[in-house]
This record gives sequence, structure tokens and C-alpha cells, in this order.
Amino acid sequence: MDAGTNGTMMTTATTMATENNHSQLGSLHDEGFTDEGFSRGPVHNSMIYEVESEDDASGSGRDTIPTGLEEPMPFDTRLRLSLDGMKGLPLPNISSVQECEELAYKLLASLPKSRLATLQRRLAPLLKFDVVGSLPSEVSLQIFSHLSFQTLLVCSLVSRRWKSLADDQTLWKEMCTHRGWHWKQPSTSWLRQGLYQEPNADDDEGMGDSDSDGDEHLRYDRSQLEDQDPFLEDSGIVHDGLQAVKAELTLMHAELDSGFASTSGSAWVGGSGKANVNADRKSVIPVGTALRNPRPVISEVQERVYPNFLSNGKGKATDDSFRLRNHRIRHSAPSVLERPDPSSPSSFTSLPPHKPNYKLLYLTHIKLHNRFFNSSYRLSWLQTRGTSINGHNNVIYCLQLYTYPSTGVQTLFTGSRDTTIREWNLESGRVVRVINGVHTGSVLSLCVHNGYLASAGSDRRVGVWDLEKDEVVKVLEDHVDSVLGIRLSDDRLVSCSKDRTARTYSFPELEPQFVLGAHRSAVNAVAIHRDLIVSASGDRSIRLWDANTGKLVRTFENHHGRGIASIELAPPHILSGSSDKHLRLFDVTTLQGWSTSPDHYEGIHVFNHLHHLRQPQPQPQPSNSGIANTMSSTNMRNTPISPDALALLAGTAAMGGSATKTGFGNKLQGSLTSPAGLITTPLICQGCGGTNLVPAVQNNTLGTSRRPREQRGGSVNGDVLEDEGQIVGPSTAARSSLSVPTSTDPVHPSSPSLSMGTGLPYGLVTHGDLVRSVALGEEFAISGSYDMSIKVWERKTGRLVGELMGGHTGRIFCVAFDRTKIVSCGEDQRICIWDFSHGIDTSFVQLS
Amino acid sequence: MAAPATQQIKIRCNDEKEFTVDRDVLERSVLIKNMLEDVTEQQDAPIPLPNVSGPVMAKVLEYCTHHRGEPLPSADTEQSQDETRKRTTDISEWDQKFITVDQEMLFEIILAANYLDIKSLLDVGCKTVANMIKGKTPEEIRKLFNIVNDFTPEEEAQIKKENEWAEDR
Repeated sequence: MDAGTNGTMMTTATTMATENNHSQLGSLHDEGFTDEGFSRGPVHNSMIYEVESEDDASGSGRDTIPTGLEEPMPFDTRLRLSLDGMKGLPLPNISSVQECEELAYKLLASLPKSRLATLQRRLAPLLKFDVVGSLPSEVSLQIFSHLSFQTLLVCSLVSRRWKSLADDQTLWKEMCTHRGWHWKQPSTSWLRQGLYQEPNADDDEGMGDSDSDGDEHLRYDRSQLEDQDPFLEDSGIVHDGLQAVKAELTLMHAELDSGFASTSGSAWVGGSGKANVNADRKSVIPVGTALRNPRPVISEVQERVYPNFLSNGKGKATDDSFRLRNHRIRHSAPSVLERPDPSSPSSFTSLPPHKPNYKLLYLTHIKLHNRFFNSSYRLSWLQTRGTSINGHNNVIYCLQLYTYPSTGVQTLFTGSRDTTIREWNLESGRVVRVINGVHTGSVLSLCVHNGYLASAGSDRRVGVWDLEKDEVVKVLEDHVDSVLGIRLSDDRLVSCSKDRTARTYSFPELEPQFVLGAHRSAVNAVAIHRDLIVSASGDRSIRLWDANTGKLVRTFENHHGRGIASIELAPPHILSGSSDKHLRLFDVTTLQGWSTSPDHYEGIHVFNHLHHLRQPQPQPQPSNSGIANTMSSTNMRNTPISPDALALLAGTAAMGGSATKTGFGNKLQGSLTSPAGLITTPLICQGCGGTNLVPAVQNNTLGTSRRPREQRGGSVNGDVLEDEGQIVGPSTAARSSLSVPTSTDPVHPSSPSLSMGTGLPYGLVTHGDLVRSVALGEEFAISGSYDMSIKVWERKTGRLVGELMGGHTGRIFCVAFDRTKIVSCGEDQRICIWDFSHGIDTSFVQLS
Repeated sequence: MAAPATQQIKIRCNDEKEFTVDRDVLERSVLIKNMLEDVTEQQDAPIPLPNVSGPVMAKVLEYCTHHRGEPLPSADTEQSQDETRKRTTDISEWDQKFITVDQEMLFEIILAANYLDIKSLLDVGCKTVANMIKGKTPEEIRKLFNIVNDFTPEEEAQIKKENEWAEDR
């Protein structure tokens, strides 16, 4: 079986070559010498061809043959050439490869060993050939499917053949799919900006083309063209900010009506003659430019669209010509072809922008990822205090990004102490909707989901708004104190309040379901995912609830050293931010995770409500895990979450109904107040994982120097958070703090906190003040703090990868993010956009 | 393997080399398995395999004999094979040793595995080539496979620029 490989190779190759070249060889009269390397090219060609032609008589297999292999000279030519160098040598006549081989072998055999060795080294490269490029494409691609994207990029530099293989769309699509990165059909959402203002523009419905985009924007285009400029001015809101939009629309106008003189973009805008609008626009333009890169679009309009316009003749466009043009414009919008980044991939543009280009998609995601990792952003403001005519005129408490499923248009909702909620067009930077009259007090929290907006106010109200009908659905007034948090899921609304309860309602019917009452202090934040609700309170605990029964599943007592201000649930992880200035993320199923606090509070007290887990557990063994700020697994392992809760997390539809109520609910009975359910783990120094019990550092305060806005915070904080029954605010400045435990530094000489990527000394790594807002993405956790900074953490490890400062001049109250940006708002009445996609086309990237 | 009287099948390679092999060994090739299933009557004539040479077939049979009795990957498992697993290029020790051959033989084995439809062998071959590529520079890869760089310097610079684009900030 173990045939000599050299012999095998020779036999195979020579057999094939003989068959293919025999007739040609017959004409050879010269004598000489050849080697395997010569016959290789033709051999592979014929081999591939034969294999493929088995199934494909059309000979498409030919197409897969690398061009490089068709170039080599025929055997006889090469033989002759190689023999040229040997003229004058007394060589016998040869007529076949076998004879050549035989002769060569005899010659070689006569050489001394040292010469043979040299020859072997000389011959070695000839035995090498392009294995990858010579295989049928599908096999080559199977080889490449085992490679990382970095290696694929290297492969694309090897040769043309390799590049065509390494750029293969199916390869990159598979990798994208694995990462959950899907191609979004680029849309010219800027053309749809008028949607919010003119939902009833009449139009014929047959205008749309057949791709997945809705035709609302077409409707809009049309009405624009017909109503023309005066309408634009009246609306005053819709089409501003963007040079590109202006240019394109201008061109369209110019073409449609030669009498319309203001053909330059600036003239078109300036022509509105409304000073206030212009002033407003000025403040807004930076957002547009940061997000939209208008320059390349303009150039495309000029180069590609305008000439066509000219050829279309003048006057009112017919529907046909309009459709044609519109189609062209849409695809010429943020385009791969015209990239603002001069170093951007140009060969990607071999595909038209409306066709998925998965290599481009993958690399764009990688680039965005790298930028998040390196804090490479452009900062702009949707509003700063007093700059926005139609903006908020007081503290902004909450925000959320929302993409309309029907149109793919993304907007931002913000809620303020001014009692209003505003919806912002992120591209124009303009307010497109103001929701007024629902609340009489501060809007403290909001959530947009499936076309509905729910808001929570200090007026104890919960308002639900239908975004499409643009009307209020219901106002709930069940809470007896400020409603601090609100969240929606597909079938549920959950609100939490300073009154120490959370309440759930069916959604969108809004029938009351359960009152979740167990917290001893204000419930500052809630999060919901399918059947699981998690609440965070000033009583320092996190509680997990079964949304279907309203039963308390678990309590994580003293989860933070102080009141918990923010919570996010993205199964299996719960992320929390606290007044103790720290963040903590853990996996509900394994109880493992990370914390920014190296010496971890007073251990984890799991108040377990399940009978079968009540038995005393063995003392945990100290962990010697090298990762200091990862929670010790041994600390937590003795209290794994119940299978029921796991099922809850799975969130399957089967989980609902009677199974839940009987199986799950019963186990919860009667355990809510029993001290026997309290499993207390000992104090463990999470930093070093050692056995020494480190008492919580209570006296090591940082002082009050880091609190920037102590005096003016008072008016604000009445609305906000409660910490162990007290308002979190200026009062906390005087209280002790757990952060910056300098006294324990010597104990943690090798703490990863010291060697994190940022190189920041330990103690500066976490926030300097209360962590008011947290958000969780696939790869990152984001936190916004009263210390006026936003921090970006690697979700998996808790490593600090980015710090965003300088955007706010006051406390940050809310942060949110998607794949291209972070948005934040706060006490300073600013809405910051931290754009990580500056200079690159992300029109095809699904934002979340 | 303990089946009553293992059936012996004869095959003939393109160089007239013939092998007589136990049916279960041969059936690791989906191509041959299907051929055998299609043939209702017992035939004495060897199955012609015009795309495989004797020495390569010997190698392939060595592989099939070693792995006889192992479950064949179904279409389902192929589908569900997740990307993470696919991206790993772990090869078992025996397979590793088996596939340590020169490039020509490796190439022939991959071609034969593809033709004969022996998924696990094709996988081993592809992973082996992938492992040869990993961690190398383009120039090292060219040297490894004796590939001529057919890019113009301008093209090469452009591709480099594109590749580095994602890494740029």
C-alpha cells in the first residue's frame, strides 16, 4: 500500500503525458533529457478536464483551468529547448517520456551521491506546483473555507488565479452568515425624509420597482417633484442638511423644469429665506456630513446621472422617464463605487452596489469593529443646549435608536425633562416628530418596539404611542411614584418605579398582568427578553422574574456595592451598572462573568427561591484563574441556575402555558422570605483569586473632587435614581465609595487591570462616578456614566477597549449603540453621535 | 465487518491496474457505492475508474481500509457542520501521517477523493493544503507552490491597500 511516492508520481504523470503528447513527440529527432516538472502543466490540464467532463459534457471544466497552466509550452517544444543547451552531447534518439525518464535515471544513477543531492535540491522546486490553483474551483474553495479572513487576504496577493478564488462571494458570504452579518440592500433613505411629514401625499401606487425597498420614498420623490420648492419651504423640516440630497434633487428639478433657476445646492437651500431655518441648519450640518459623506454622491450625480438627464429632454417627466431616472439615482446613492476613503478597496467595486458584496461587507464589519476597539470616531451633536430650534430645552434623560421595519429608515427617539419626546432624523439632524401632552413631568425612560413607543415619566405615568397612527394608545397610571424605567417585548410591557415595584402588561393590548414587588427600594431599571424579566434596584440587588407567572425566580443580593442604576439583558448575559461606579456582567446560566471591581464586594449572596437548591453547598475552592477581573467560577458554581430558569432563558414558545405554571411556579412557593434560602458565599478576593478574605473597602473614598456638577444636580436628581431609599445625587458624594481601592493595589501586582490594552493604571479603568446607562452588543458592552464619559468594554472579557470623552459637559443619562455609532444624551442637553463609520460606506450594513 | 462472506469487488484504474477489495471498504466512496447499488446483477467485470491511476488508488484504498466501519457523513451533518468547526484544521494523527506525501500525490489524492466522492478524505486533503498555506506570506506561498507572481506592481500595491483597508483606523 505504501507505494513509494516518487515512483507513484512519476507513473501517474508520465502515463498521462504520454497519452496526450505522443503524436507530437513522434516528430522529435533530437535527444535529451526532461524531468517531471515539464510534463506537469499539461498533465493537470488533461486530468482536470477528464474529471470534470465526466459530469459536464459542455466542458465547463475548462473554465476552471487556471490560465497560468495553459501558457506553458507543449512538451515537445520544451523538450527541444531544454535540449538546446546540450547540443553536441552524444545522446541517443528518444521518442517518448518513458525513454526520457529511463535515460535520465541512468544518467543520474551514474552520478556521485553528492551530485545527486545537489540535483535533488535543484529538482525540488520543479516538483512543486500550484496545487490550489490547479484543482477544480469548488475544491479550491473548500480548501479556502478552512482559512481565516486574514489568510484569505494573504492568498489574494499570491496570483491572479488565487485572487479570484480568495475573493469568491460564497466564501465570504458563509463567513458573514456565521458572524450574523447580513447584507442590507442599500437604500436611499435620504429620499424618504419627507415620510414623516407627508404621509398622505397622493400618488399612483404603481411607481415602485420590484426590489425589496418599499415604494414610499418613490411616492415622496414624486410629490416633491410636483409640489416643488414652495412646499419644501413650508414643510421646513424635510429636506435639508445634506449637500448630496440637495444636489441630486436640484438636478432633478433642473431637468424637470428649466425655469427653475436655482440650480446650485446652496442657492436652493438659501432660497428658503428663513433665517431661523438656516441658523438651525448650520448647527445640524456636522451630523449630516459625519454620517453621510455627501461628496462622492455628488460626483456620481454629476458624472452618471446628469448626462442622462440631459438626454431626457425638458419639461414634465413622464412616469416612465421618471421611473428610469429614479431607479438610477437610487442605486447611485451611497455607493461602493464612489468612496470617500481614497484607500478604500476599489476592486470591490467590480460588483454594482446593489448586488451583495460579501467581502466588502465582511471587511467593513471588521473595520467598524477595529474602530470601536480603537475609539476612532467622529463626534457630532444632534443638539447642544440652545442650538436647536425644535430641540429639547431641558435635560435629556433617555434615548433609543429605532429602525422602521417597513422602510429601513433609522431614527432616534429622545425623552426629556421638558416632558416631550422627540424623534430625530439622523441624516438630516432634524426633529421629525414631537410627542407632546402624554406626560406632565420628565420623560425618564422610553422604549420603541414594533411601531409602538412606550414612555415613563416622573408624573407616574406610562404612555404608549402608536407611531404609525401618530396617536396615543393608552396612558397607564398604576404606579404610585415616578416611573423610572420601561421596556417592551413582542408581547409585554414592563415598567418599574420608585414605588419599589415593577408592573407588567400585555402588549399591545396593555391589560395589567403582574405586580413584581420584592425590592426594598426603588426599582431603577428593568430589562426584558421573552419570558425573562430582570430588575435592578437601589437595594443593590438584581431580581430575575418569570414574565409568564410574575414569580420571582432569583435574587442576586448585594450584586453591587451600592444601588444599581442600569441593567441590560441579552441572554445569557446580564449587564449592570451601579452607583458604586462599577459594571458587572454575568452569565445567568453559569454565573460566570466579569466585573470592573477587582475586589468583589461582599461576595455574592444568592437568595435562592428553589427548594431543591436550598441544601447547603460545599465551600468554594479558591480559584487560581489568571484572569483577575473575571469572576471566579468556583465562587459561583455552587449555585447554578435551575433548569427551569434555563428553559426560561431559552424562551421557547413551548415554555409558556401550563407547564410553566405548574412545574415552575410551584417550586417558587413559600421561599420568598425564608432565610434558609440565603446562600452566602464567603468573601473572596476576586482580584487574585486567593484564599485571603478581603473585606470590602469601605473607608477608601475618593473624595468629592470628581463630582463636577454637584450644585446644579439637585433639580435634576429628584427625577432620577434612588439608592437604598435615598436619592442618588449630590448626597452620594459624601458617601463612601468602593472604587479605586488603592490599599489593595499591592495585593494585585499582576492584575490584568494593570495590563489592559489601554495601559491605564488600575483605578482609572472603571468609571469615576455612577454608571447610569449600559448597553450590550454582540462584541461590546457600553456604559455611560455621571463622570461624563462613555466606556466601551469587550463583552467577552470585560477588557476596557475604548473611552469616549469630550462629548458631554454634564452627566450622561443614557447611551445606545448600533454597529456604526454610539449615541448618548444627558444633563447638558446634548445628544452626541459618536460615529465610527466616518468616511466609509455602510449603507449595506445592517445596523443592529 | 462480521457480515457473512464479505463481498469482493474488482475495480480497474486508468492504467489497467486492478484491485480486488471488500465491498464495505469500497463503499466509502459514494460514487462506487451508488454504482454498486445501481447494478442489480452480480458482475464479474471490474468497475472501470477512468480518472484514477493505480498508485493513487492504492493510497485511497489504504485510507478507506483504515476508516472502514466508521459512519459515513450524511448530507445532514454536512449541512449542520458549523463554521467554527469548519475553520479548524485539526487532522487526526493517523490521517496526518497518511497525508504526508509530496504535492503531486496530495493533489492526486484530493482529485481522486473528489471524483470518488469520499468526503472525509477530501476534507483531510483540503485541510492539509489549508495548513500549508496558513501563517505564510504571499511570497512564501508562491515559493511553496512554485507560483509565478502574475500581478503588475501596481495591481499588487492596490490589493495590498485594499487588504489593509479594514485594518486602518
